[in-house]
Amino acid sequence: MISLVVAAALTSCKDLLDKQPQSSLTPEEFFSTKAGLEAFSNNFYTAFPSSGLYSETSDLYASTEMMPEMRGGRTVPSSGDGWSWGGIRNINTMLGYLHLCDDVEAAKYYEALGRFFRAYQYFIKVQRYGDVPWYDKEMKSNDPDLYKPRDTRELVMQNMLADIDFAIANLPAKKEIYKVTKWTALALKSRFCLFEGTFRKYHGITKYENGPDYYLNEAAKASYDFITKSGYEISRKANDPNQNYRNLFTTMNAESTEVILARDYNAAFGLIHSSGNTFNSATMGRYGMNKKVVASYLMKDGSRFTDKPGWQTMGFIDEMKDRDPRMAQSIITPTYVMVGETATTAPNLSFSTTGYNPIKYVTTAAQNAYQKSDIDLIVFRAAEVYLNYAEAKAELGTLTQDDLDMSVNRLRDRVGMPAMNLAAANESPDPFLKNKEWGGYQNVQKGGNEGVILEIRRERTIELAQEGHRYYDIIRWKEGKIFEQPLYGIYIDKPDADGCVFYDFNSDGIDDLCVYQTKKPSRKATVYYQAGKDVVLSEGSYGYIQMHKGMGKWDENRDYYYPIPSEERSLNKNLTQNPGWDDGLNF
Amino acid sequence: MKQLLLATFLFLSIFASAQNQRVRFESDAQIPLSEVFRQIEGQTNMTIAYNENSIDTGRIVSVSAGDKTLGEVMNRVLAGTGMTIKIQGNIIALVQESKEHEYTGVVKDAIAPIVGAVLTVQGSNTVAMTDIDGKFSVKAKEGSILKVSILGYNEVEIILGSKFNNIDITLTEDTQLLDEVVVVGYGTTKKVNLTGAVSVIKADELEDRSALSVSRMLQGSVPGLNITNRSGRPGQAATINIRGLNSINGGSPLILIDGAEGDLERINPADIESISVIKDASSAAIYGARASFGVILVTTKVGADKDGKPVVRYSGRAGFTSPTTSTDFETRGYYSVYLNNLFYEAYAGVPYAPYSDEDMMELWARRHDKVENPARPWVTVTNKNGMDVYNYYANTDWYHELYNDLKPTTSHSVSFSGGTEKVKYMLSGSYNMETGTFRINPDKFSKYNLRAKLSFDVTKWLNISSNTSYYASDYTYPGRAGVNNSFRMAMVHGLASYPAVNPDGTAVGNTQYRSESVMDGLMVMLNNGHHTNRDKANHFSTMTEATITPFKNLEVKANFTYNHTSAQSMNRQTNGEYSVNPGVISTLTTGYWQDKLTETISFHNYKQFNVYATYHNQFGKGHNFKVMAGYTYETKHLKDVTASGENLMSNTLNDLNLVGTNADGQKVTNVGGGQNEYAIESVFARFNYDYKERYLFEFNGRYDGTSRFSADSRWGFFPSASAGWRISEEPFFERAKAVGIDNLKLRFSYGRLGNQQVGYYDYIRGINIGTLSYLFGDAKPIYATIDAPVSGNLTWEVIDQYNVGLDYAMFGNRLSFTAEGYIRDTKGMLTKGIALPGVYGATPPKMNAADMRTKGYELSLSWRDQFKLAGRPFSYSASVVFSDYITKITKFDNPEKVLSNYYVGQTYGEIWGYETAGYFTSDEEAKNWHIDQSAVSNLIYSSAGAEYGLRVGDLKYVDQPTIDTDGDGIPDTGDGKISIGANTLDNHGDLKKLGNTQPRYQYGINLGASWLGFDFSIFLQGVGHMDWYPDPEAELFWGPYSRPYATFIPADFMSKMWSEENPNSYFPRPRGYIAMKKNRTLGAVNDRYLQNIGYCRLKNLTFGYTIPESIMQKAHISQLRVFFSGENLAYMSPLKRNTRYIDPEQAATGGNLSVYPWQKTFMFGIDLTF
Repeated sequence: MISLVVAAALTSCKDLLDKQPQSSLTPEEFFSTKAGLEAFSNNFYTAFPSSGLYSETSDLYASTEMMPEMRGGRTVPSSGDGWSWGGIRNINTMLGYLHLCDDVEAAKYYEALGRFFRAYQYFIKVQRYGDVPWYDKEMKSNDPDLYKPRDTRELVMQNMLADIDFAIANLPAKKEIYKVTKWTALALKSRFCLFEGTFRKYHGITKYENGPDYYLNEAAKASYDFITKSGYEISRKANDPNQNYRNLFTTMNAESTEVILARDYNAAFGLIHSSGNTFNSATMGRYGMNKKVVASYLMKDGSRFTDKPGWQTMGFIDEMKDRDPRMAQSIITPTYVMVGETATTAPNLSFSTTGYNPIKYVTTAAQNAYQKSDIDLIVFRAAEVYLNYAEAKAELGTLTQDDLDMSVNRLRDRVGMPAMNLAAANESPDPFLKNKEWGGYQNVQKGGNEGVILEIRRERTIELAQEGHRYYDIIRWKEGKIFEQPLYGIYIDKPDADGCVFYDFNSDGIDDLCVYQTKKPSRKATVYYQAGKDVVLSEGSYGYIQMHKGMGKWDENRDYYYPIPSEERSLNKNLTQNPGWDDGLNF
Repeated sequence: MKQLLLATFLFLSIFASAQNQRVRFESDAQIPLSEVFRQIEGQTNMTIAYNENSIDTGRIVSVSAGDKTLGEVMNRVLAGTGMTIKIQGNIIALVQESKEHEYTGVVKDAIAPIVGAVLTVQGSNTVAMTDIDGKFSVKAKEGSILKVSILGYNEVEIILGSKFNNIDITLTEDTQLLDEVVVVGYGTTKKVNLTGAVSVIKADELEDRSALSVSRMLQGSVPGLNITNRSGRPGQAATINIRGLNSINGGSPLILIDGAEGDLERINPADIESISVIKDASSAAIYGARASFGVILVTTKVGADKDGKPVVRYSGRAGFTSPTTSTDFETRGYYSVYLNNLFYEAYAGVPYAPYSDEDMMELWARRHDKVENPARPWVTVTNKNGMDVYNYYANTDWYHELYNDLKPTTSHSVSFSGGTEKVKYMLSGSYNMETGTFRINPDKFSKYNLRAKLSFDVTKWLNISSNTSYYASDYTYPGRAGVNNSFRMAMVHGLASYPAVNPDGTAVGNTQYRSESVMDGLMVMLNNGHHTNRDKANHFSTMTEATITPFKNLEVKANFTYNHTSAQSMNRQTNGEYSVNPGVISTLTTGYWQDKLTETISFHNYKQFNVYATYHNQFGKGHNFKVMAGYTYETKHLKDVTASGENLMSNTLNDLNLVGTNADGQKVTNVGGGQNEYAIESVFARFNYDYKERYLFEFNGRYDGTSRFSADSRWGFFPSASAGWRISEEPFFERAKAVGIDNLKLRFSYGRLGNQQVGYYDYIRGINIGTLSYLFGDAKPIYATIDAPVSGNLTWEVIDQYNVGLDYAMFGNRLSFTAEGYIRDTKGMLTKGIALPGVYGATPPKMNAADMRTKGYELSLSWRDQFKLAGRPFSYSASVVFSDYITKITKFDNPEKVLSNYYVGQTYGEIWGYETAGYFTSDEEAKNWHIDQSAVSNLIYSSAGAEYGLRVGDLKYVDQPTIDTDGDGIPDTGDGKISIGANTLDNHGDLKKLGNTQPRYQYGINLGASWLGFDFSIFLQGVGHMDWYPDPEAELFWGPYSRPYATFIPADFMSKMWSEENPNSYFPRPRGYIAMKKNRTLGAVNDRYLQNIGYCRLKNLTFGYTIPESIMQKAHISQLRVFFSGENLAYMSPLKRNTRYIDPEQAATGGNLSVYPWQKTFMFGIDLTF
């Protein structure tokens, strides 16, 4: 009887037990449509940085916590920590299904878009790890290539170049500020080729077929194409040298004349960040610009601030006078007025570790609370490509005054700064920019172009400050030792007879800061700091505000690359560790 | 099992049924007694017999119109005559009212006199007990009924007649325990014939409990049934597992209510007749692939099984719930600001809340003010930077601003049951209401249960029955969607110095001190009352069953069940308003302040068809067999619909019809859907054989198919076998029986089960569509992701289980003992099949790749007896259940034995961490410390300002010897830094195995006693040992060591915090955030803060009084009992040494503990039957 029932059940089971998903498509249906490809590729965009674009720390900015990279605080992770490959896998998945799409044009567009993002993703990997394995198809779980050794950075770079060239050739040339276009691809190519060229140059990597100059040339070419063909310009929307630059970072919707690609934020759709809060709060990291950078801004007339006698101990109000207008558009100076306000706002030391409060992406007071900002964030803008161009040409040794005029000098012109002169720059390289104690460049190319390279770096540093570039600039220039220099804030004078000094930074009659030695004075001030307790001063009772008592530590033989997670190496014995990282594995 | 003994000495017997015959008078009248007799004789077939000399029949008596019972009429008309009636057959005899006599005699069983038997005279308070020789003496009227009872014997009733002395009463042994029937899969069996591991809970064990759900009542009452509560929220479902973790993928037992899938939270406890907890594979195997986590069979009560009057039961409870943990937090503004600033500044170099020194003096002056002193207002206004602003100097008790300690709760339950020979019925309904802990707009949980059961014997061979139930629950709560979010918000940024509201009644949101909202805006939300949420659930279930008995010994049952479940949730959020500057209102409009209504509805439709036949017979002498076979098909369809709209026209009305437009004039709405389906089809059979109930054998098999696997791998066969030997039935056991050993049985079983509790379509690679949080200059676009590839041959996890059991009973079954031991192998657990390198880029495909083995045992022991106390019987009982298990991973692809994953040989739940060695005793020592602690003191090395680096009072970690310097193969020196090595079993650096997260030694202890109508019981439940390392974000444990802006700082926190004066404190040097991540001093798992969260809980205490029957009978009430019952009243735990603010069960849930607090319950109740 049982067997009869079993037999009956088996014959009937086919229909009764066949339950297909009713709210989800199969890959075959999905990838054959343009709408499907669009939906799938939308997710690629999340690879672009977000809050990291304004909250970078490095030698340019101090914050409450010193980044582990700067203080030798990195350890070999057991897994993850940048060694994540989901983004690349997703791109490869889409590329693998593209043949199902009958719409040839769409397929080509999404192939170009996918390959743009693959180059973008691999750039992040190469920056972090150097050599990485190259994958251009969706990996199966039994694919032996999962266990292959790392490919050389040469192979990866060549593949990235093939990808990005395909993207440049096939992405639309129509400007679109929130979507990847041909121009975004050119900007990316300029960025990663400059990285690779300078990295190989300064790290002395010459063993591959293509040397540093090959990549510097590619960077220069891509930049040149961009500058001459794209139609992007340096934005001067405010029509005022004292506002043009800041305007880029206070305009709610990114300025499309200069910005190539921005990340769109809009509170109406719940897409918000905390840029305003980050620089107007005591709990969001208390970012402050390093004294070194403040000192590196030129005077308005193009002369060097650091040539002025006594600049080292100059007080806040004096040092802010007559500087490159970009300074007052990047940090709070005595004249700073918040968007939508009329009165000046003074630097607030409880919001900033150094007293030099950053103001890029700070808009109205209403956006200064936590998760209240919705200003667009800039991922690629033309100024970077201009700087890339000048730097690539300078490093190649082929820089001309014309080159400077079509690139760096346009940036200077926007803010009313005198033009950079190639001959003058090379004639007297700025000793401050090479001063070791002030975190100057020690490895910059000596010889004919040293002066102009230093100047281009100065220009890059202040133009692109707080836009997420600095850490890897230091890496590619092999200047990690810079991180060992102390991070300084404003200079605090010696105390008076009562053991106090008072500061009214914006001359509004209200004392913004009082530093006292032992007894808190009765005189009113916005912030009171007891020297040695609430604030550490470089000379004990006076001197530069020094946020971190501990200095940075940089291991030249180890720290330019990140460690490969130890579990990854346990799983793949062919995976070599980066030099100097001890993960306890004996291979 | 009452027996009515008709003794030879009886003069007359009384038949209640005769007395209850109805007689009727047409009108009120004054008539002679003889006329009354005539009319009664006319209306009934009774004859009234009397001695004419003893009564005057001419006496005029009054009768009233209407229907009365014969007994009533006769007693009334005979009142004052000294006569009463006795009825025998159809004769009503008038006799002299009896006088009290002294009756004496002996109570004995077949062998010897019985000591301690209780004799009660019905309708009076007279009680007696037999002495050591079994003799008794009792005063009673002639004709009274005498009840004789004692544990282990059947109760006997005799009618006392004219024989006064030497009354011999013989009791027979109660075979109830032996005859007890247990519900098993697709049938029942006698308990003594069980060969598997099945525990049974009977209705009376649940009756007194004041817990409001069945699962909470079961906690601790069945060995091996582990129930853990996820929070103290009213209506919160508990997590259930049988015999511990069954699979690394989790899973829960199959719960069948009257044979159909159900939910223990959704059944009325009063409906339950019995619960069978099926623990071993052989008993569960009849349910095949659904039963790998065990089975819980709930059987509901049925109508009376013989003719009789309807029984109505009412049970009502009312009482309170209150938190199980301390709610005594720091309420002094001064200390709240001081502590948070101290911790914050150690990290950031600046204070958290910039209260000036003058402000601190204001707070100091008010530190003793429990309520606002008019001379020292808690809120002042000053002008700062040209604007008036509120200064806050309050002492706010945030816990009690937010929550109530005492919350009313009630429950009512009514049932109505009865039947005739052919029809039986049972109707029941219940209502529960629990008020939740929120003080403003309290949350409220109510539930309703209805059940109707009908059974008709249509013909001799056909019975049709129906069982329909309905459940509805409704939970409303304020605050954000997901009630635990409010508890999370409450944890942070709520300084006691802030007032609950501003003087003008506006809410306190942001302050002049901070840009973060106080408690993330929780008070703004609660005060305006517009954030409201409602979760409703409805469950309707109906089963129709036909039982055909074509001939004796064969029974065929066919039934069809339909369940419809719907769940609705409504979440409303509105803009929030608060004030920092007097008269200036700020509005919050984004995130959870966006004006938005979200409604979600899900429907589950479940259908099940069963048909099975059972045939049993006996052949030869003592060869009994039973065969059962059947077929079942079930399918479930789950469907979700979500809709939301923004900018509603009203803040108080919540309907999507009210969606308005945004600033751009657009109507913003969103919709979502989703559906899933599964089906299971199976054939199953069972064969039982026993010889003289002495040797027992059982075989089960089930052939299961499921839609959740691909057509190639969806069918599986799950067999089982078991055997039992009732040693006590052997002839050689007679002598043991004589010394009181009643039962001894050995059992063994083996079975295989499958687990189909996996995703609905795991074998298909799916595309998932979502809304992307990334904009392209427009509304949020959609995006798609693709599931990782699946392994083609994905199939069932298989569970093999071996069970041995021993049942033992003695002293008339007063002492009983059961022991079970088991080994369970879970094979082919679905997991990421092999650890793949990260370059794979996705979660490795699931494969049937991991195995584990659980070994465990369970014991239960019970004793019950009675003795004479102050002349009255005192009965008492004690029972203990105990269980334990250990699970080890026996197969897992992790050849390097990386500790962050499972590895072969791992005991499930291992905690690895560091050893610590106290605090640095001086800055000097800390500064020169030779061991690099940066891996675990990361934050200290990146802290800003003066607190940079290790200092006195910071925690020292032990650098374990990992280097062998003298070549003896034993490491003797540390490597000078704290590290995890390669994080593998062979190279784990300074990590050590510190403990285990799994509960060990779970027990329940039940003590009960009753005397003189009073009853008392205590139920203790506990876990012997369980380790817990507090989550980095568990602010309730770490206080400001986690986030240095903690709302709830324990009142005694200062005494536990390190300072120069308190160097031996529990917690180290005050530093904010050092608990908040795993690479920080307290966040890194270490031995110093590892907690043992084992506990012993006074789970229930009940004290009741049953009003004596003699009083109640006059009110036509058969039973009335009043009682007090308390649930979760107290607990002991080693955790209590370190914190009184965390319930050990709360700790066991892990995570940041921001969940609804655990509650105890105090209930007063009444049970009434008539």
